[in-house]
Amino acid sequence: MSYLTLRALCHAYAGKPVLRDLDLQIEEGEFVSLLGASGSGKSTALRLIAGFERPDSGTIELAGAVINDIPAHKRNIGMVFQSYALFPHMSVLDNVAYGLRQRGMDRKRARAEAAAALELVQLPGFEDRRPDQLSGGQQQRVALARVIVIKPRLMLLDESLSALDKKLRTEMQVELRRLQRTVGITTVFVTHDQEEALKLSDRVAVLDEGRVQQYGPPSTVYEAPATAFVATFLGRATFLSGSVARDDDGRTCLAVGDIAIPVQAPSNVAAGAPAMIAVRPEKVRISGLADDLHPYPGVVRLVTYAGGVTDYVVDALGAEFQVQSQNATTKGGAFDAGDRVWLGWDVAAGLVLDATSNP
Amino acid sequence: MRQRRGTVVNRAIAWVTAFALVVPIVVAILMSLTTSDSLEFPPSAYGPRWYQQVLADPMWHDRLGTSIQTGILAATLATVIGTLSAYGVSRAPGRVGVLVSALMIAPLAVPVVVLGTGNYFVWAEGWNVGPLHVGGKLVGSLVGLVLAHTVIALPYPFVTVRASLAGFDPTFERAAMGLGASPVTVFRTITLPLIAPGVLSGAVFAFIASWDEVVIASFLSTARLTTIPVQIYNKLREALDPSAAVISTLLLLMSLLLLGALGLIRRRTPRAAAEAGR
Repeated sequence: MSYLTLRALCHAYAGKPVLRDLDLQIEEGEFVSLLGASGSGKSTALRLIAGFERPDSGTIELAGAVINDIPAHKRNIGMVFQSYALFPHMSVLDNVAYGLRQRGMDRKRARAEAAAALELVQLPGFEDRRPDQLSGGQQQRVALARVIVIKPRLMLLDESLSALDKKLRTEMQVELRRLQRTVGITTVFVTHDQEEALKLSDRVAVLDEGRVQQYGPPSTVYEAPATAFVATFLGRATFLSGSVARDDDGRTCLAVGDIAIPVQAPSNVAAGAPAMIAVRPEKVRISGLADDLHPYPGVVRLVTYAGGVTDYVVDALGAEFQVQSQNATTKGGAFDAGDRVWLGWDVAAGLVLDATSNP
Repeated sequence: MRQRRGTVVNRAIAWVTAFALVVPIVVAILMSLTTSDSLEFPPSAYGPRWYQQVLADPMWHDRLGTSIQTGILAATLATVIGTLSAYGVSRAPGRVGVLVSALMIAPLAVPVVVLGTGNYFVWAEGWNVGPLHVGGKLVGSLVGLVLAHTVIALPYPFVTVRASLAGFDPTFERAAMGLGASPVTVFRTITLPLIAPGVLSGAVFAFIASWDEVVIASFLSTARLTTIPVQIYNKLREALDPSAAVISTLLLLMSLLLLGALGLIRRRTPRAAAEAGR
């Protein structure tokens, strides 16, 4: 039995459904990201877990017990908000000690434990400062300390790193993961940043329209997306639609126009059935010469230099191909718009998707 | 050229208005410093005679006590009710919120004579509301006066606290709840400290409203229970001696002190609001 189970959660705001039969199971000590666009329901799910609202239907179970009816302040779930919500009229130490005091701990002990928590987040000596005297990263860490010190059963983070600039954000991501591993709290992390989700999580739940589209470890969700939505939400992809065919050697192919593209598909798929594959930009090979590794012709439309890589948009096979080429390993320099090129990719790199799902 | 002329006209109007508003006050202050037996302007001689007389007069002490008691009690009641109502309205928007807001602000719109008359009849003769009997034989009682003044003082804390709450991020309350604080504890430890400027300035306004109030107080006053404004009014009618001017000046001083207190509270407000907005 998992530690946190969301079962058939449904919730609507002003008549508009936000969560539709959401199912999720999280194990103890796991770091799970809820990834999705705005409106996908991820923040709503978090609020329901925290207990700030009651779901319209469905259950939330923690450590085997249904907690729907338990009020928020009795759930022992710590939440870190996007705005950190540090109490402005209290010192940093009192902020961190607040949860402990609410549990009846005496002032002296609470302050001692709060000071220890501040050391854990690497802010020793900040006890007497006020929240408005702290930088964004420091506020973030105090907010984390405030939650960790009460040893909650669950830690919820609502886009907590979104307010930080890129460099600080990257540092905090490492910090957060280190902290979570040290303390071992089961964590649910809401974000719309797919890179962040892939970096931090043990498992990623991709949400769209109030449902979990795919749930699995980062590598699975990225390398084997279940739907076109997941394929484009995590990373980029070019989609090719066609019908199943068999080539001269009997291998399964995707017939796109009059070109046969070898694909890794189950052999029981009927010939002629519609099919779709997605190819990630970094898996597409590009060359100025045609050969076995670069069989598909195309014309470069757009070139974007991005430091370590160069992004191309290439018209090929009736689609706009996104190609990403590592500058360090590309031989023969970059291409220009209008150049005739040849593309290719490993068969395994063509991710087979449900033909009926829309990107 | 036209702009400069406009500014001159504006300035002139401002000065004339200021003059018209301030002159009567200055006249009253000057008249209080006279040493003669009656009100005269300009005073022929200046001296603190009437101040000494008033400050030693036990009647004025009694009226002062009544005014202060009424003011503090009415302000406290009005602030408590106003604060809780404003909190409720901010958390329960929609038609209920609009109705309650209108009710809380209504005392400002109702003519004070109407309130006075109504209060008089409720407290004098009593009023039957179904099985309940309210008031009766309470004219001249502190309870009646305090209740009546609470009603007229209600709008002020309600409005100031509502304004404070408008800039208040509910995330703070959620954070506190998540950390284990019950809703009442959240209100006590988080909400109230952060809206304190609104509560305090509302309380000061409420006190001033009761302190200055003369119409309802005169309906409900008797020889035993009179507030300062009512006493001044009575004194002016029966004997025009400078003690009325003295009291008026003292009241003015009191108002200035209260406004000063308000100013101090207000200076804390922008910082508190900025912190709350984080």
